[in-house]
Amino acid sequence: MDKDKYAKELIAVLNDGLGSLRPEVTRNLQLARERACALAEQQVHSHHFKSAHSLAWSDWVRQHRTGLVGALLVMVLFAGAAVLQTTSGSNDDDDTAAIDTELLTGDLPVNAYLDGHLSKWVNNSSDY
Amino acid sequence: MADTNALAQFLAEVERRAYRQAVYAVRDEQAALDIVQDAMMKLAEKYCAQPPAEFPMLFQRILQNTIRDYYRRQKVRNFWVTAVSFIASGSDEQEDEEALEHTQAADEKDNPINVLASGKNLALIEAAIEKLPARQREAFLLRYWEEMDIAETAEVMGCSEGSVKTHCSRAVHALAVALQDKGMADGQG
Repeated sequence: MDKDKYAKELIAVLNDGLGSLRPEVTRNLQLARERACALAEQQVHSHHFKSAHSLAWSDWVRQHRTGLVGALLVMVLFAGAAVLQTTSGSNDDDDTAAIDTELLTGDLPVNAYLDGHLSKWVNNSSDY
Repeated sequence: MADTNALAQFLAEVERRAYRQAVYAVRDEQAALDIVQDAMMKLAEKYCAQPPAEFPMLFQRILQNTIRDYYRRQKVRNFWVTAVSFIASGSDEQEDEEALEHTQAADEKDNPINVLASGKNLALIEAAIEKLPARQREAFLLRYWEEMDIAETAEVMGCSEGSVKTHCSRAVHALAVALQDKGMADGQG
């Protein structure tokens, strides 16, 4: 049996039967189709609205390009200054910490603090 | 962007076949109408911007998924109906059986396939198609009625091309056997 040919014969009978759908079924299908098309129409309009909106926005950007570039440069300058400020502040903190560490872990032996000359030198140096 | 006239034209071409497909699958006229309407709305909502050449594949995929969703919902509903009727079973069992017989008789009488068949052959073929396993029916209808090639059918069904060939072959064989049993030597009777 040629299965393709046989299948096509069956399909031909099914296609002939499509015309015999009840009128209410046909009407309901038509209503469903109309609803779907109305929804598609809404979708298309909403897409057009979005497109128009984005077009207006790009026009505005084009018109104010110089001003926008200037504003952007100023913002970049401010941002750079802020970064520099933050970096130098943290450097100062680092220096202080290093001095503290050096003082605490310096080469001066502990016994030096017991030396009377040191106390004298400290007293003298506080006069400066 | 596709214009909505293309969509309207496509839906007008495909709606009757889609309805019949749904009827064969769910065996319920009202449910089939709902399924076709859902599929149309989904296509319009999500894919109306697609090129019209893609509509047949998209629509068939949506339709088949909507039919599967219907099966799932029916399964859940049947589970609860069975559970509730098991609890409530007892006194009115006899009445239920009588009511069921009456409903089945009415269904047979009002079945649009039986009432509206243009000839005996159509009714026999449609009954045989309804009795096919779901995947075989799906493959047969997509391949031969929607005139999709094997690759497209496989994509819509989410299976391999080999499976499509197997399903189609088995479907045609099963239809031939069923229709021969009913006295139809071939598709024309």
